[in-house]
Amino acid sequence: MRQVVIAQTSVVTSVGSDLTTTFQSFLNSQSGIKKNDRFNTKNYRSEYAALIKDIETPDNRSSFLNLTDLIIKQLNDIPDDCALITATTQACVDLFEKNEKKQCSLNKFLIPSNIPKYIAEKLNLKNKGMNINSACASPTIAIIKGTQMIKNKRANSVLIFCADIVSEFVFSGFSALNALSPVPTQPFDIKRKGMSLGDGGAAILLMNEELAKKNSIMFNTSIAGYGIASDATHITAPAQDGRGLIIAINNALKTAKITPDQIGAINTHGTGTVYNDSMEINALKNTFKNIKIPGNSFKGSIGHTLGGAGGIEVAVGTLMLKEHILPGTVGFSTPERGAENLISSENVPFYKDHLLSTNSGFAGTNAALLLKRINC
Amino acid sequence: MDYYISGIGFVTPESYGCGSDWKSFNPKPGKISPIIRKEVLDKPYKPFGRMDFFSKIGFAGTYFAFKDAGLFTQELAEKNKTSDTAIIVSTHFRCLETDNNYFETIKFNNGKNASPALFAYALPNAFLGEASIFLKSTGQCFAINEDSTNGITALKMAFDILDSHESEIVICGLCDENPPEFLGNLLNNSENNFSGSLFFTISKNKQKHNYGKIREDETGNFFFNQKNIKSLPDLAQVCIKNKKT
Repeated sequence: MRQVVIAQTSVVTSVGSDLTTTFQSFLNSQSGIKKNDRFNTKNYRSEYAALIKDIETPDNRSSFLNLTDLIIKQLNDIPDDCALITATTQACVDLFEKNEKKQCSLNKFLIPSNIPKYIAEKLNLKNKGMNINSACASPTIAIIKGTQMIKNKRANSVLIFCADIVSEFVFSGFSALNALSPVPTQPFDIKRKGMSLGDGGAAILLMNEELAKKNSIMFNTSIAGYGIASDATHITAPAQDGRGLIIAINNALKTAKITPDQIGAINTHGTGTVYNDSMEINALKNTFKNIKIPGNSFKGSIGHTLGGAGGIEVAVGTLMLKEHILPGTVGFSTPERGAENLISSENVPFYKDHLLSTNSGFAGTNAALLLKRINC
Repeated sequence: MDYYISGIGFVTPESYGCGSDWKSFNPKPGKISPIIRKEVLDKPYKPFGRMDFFSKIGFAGTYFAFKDAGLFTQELAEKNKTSDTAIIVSTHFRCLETDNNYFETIKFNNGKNASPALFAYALPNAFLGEASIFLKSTGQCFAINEDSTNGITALKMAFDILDSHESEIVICGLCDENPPEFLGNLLNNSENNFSGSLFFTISKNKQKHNYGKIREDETGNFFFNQKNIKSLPDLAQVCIKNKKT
């Protein structure tokens, strides 16, 4: 069976214009969550968001495309026969707002298949790609599907692109659902009041290990295991017993052929909403019983980047495995019941070879990935 | 590798229902009429009423496909037994009409009237969540958007899920509502020519009810009972035409 490795990454977040600076910002407990001046927030539950100022111009097109350009310009030598999967929940939805403000008109980028086409053209890829949408689990599912395409010999390399931006469309929606925090988000904290949204995205080049070696590509991480499952309980609220996430994690363990004690750290979804974080605590307790594995969430630093989150987390995960360190959780101070031995505001060293990364989203979707440190 | 097609469900401008209830399948472009609960489900089901139009036709298609396969039993409806059935949908326009309707609620009063009910359906995978709840399936559910609208990628992904034993049964298909009118002339160049929903229930194991076997050859071509298949509507046409009555 083919092994799939992460051959290249690119990241843009509110705390860093590339992977290294983003990772360093996480280690320094920096937060990009500030007062949101992109649109009027006076009628919303929150005035905070983690914005990337560089994507706001030019303003006569979707800021999502500006973010896309920043992410893909960091990529080098993508094979032209590479398959392409994008993951975004709302992509260019800000076109509705820009059209209303007469900055630009509604255009083809509202139709989601034009996002992978745009990237394919920019990178001169033969494959026009597809977009995967499974709410906030989209990027993790895209990485899993890309991995399976390589394992099943449908492709030798797959470029995963994942991103989303803070739009009034999405901001107002989460506000109406009472999911936004009036203060910068505090994942897993007993006083948490909801999420903060953020701009951000990542690109990840997955490659058949043999091909990566043949092309002398340096890599340190492989995709060891994966699982996807649904809660089948509610379309906006997670199942409180974490049933879907439990299945996803167990399937990831099964495909990786490892036991829980081989996991060194967990990069949780950790949105900071009351329901999501308690669901995750229940799922992790149920899955790992008395095994203590340190976990964290990046959402206190860069907000919830929706379709970007899982990709950013995996890209940063490659550095976490390389440097043997789990960044602390920004915004966290007093643990929610059950999170005492899971989350810390401090950076935590870890030396085991596997990192678990999980995401969950609307429609009760859950995905889990096991990354493995390898020596190349 | 062969896979069995055990169920077909669809909602098109002309008709709706299970594949086994029809003698032919010849969908034509056109406007899909609103669909009400009684046309889909025998018993009252509150969530159906609050779904957006895109979700209603998607939900109906998946349910009809599952029912057609003989998998929606009274026991499933009444007991707390779940399955690992996966659901995949390929959609070109996603739920853009719902997105537009939601945006209308935030245009005035600085978003004060934002509708949480509409926002909940402003994702193309929302109805997959509804279907997974109703069908009690904890398998993977996701939507794909691609340039081509023939649905073949969804079929390939269904095969991959079955081959890797992630699920025993996959419901996969297409869902697109009437092309969103607010997009105006952007639609002129659209290749999308299927309005409605069309889903197949697929498994590696033979089910009680089945239409026949489909396979993918080494070059990525699909064959149903030796006939080359280019799109999911093609597949439905052949399955329904050739079914044993």
